[in-house]
Amino acid sequence: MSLSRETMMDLMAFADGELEGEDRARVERLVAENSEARSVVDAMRSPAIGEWLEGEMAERAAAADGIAGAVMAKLPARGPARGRSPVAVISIGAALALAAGVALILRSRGESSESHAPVASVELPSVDTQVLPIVAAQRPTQGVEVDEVDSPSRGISVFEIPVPGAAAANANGPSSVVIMIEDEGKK
Amino acid sequence: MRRVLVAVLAAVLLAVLAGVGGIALAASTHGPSLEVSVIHASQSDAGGSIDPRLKDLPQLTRDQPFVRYNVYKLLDRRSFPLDVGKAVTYGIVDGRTLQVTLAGTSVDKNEKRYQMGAQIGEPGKEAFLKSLQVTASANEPFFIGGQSYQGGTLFLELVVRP
Repeated sequence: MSLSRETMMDLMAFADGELEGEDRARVERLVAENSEARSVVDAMRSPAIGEWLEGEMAERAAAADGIAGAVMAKLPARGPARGRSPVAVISIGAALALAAGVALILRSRGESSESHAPVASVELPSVDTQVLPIVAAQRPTQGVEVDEVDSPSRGISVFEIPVPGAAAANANGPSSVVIMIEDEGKK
Repeated sequence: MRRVLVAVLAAVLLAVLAGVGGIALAASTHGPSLEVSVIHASQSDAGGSIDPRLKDLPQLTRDQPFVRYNVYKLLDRRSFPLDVGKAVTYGIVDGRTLQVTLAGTSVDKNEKRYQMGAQIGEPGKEAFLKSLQVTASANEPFFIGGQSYQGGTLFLELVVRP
């Protein structure tokens, strides 16, 4: 076949009667002068091709109508657009409340675990800043210090003891205290 | 429709419980607490024993003053919220009352320190412990001992839990 793709398209349009004016005249001249173009147009216009094309087109149109019909048939079954029902509103509210509750739980757990996380080991300026226990565990703690003890007329002894736990074996480690107060005559 | 309503009500109930639980959990995890343990120490010729709940005590019994006793029993253990300026009051088994107040907190060498005051008294009698001021780190116990009780001595173990 020596005809170009564009020519074939023109011939098909001509065979279908879709061309007018100068385009139609140009294709008519081509058909008159070119036997190959003429045979293409004749084939396009043959009854066999025409019936096949008509059948295909009718079938596709029916299928499209069927899809559209099915879609339209479904729409009334779901009802027209309207405001949310009270049940739906309650359901949405419950879901939001549930999500908020879960988020609050997770947040509080996050805060709790945060105090155990090795976030940083920088000097913290605020007196209310949380201690970082992991950091604390990597160095000796400062133990317990007695700033003042007062128990009139009773004997008081203060014993320094190693802090129970990891630092207990370290003689230079932190210490805790036991304040012993005499309790003579008590039951 | 009925099943839908039941499902919705269940969801609402679950949501409310989750919210309340979250608030309660958030509140419970806020702030330090004071743990008070009452330990009865005595000397027995029949052999020593240490209450297994006193897991840190065995290593201390080699030192004074714990070495004086060989039987240790945990009588009570309680935990109290510890807020600055708000006294924690605990009734000791011998009739006296322990009062602990968190005076404040500070940070020293990246470590949070708790300044506390403690008193042990008994109505109508002279205070057993008029005043004790200590500075302690979290999870580091200190002890107040000497109260006579049932042939032995009471040790109050105090520890701040962060």
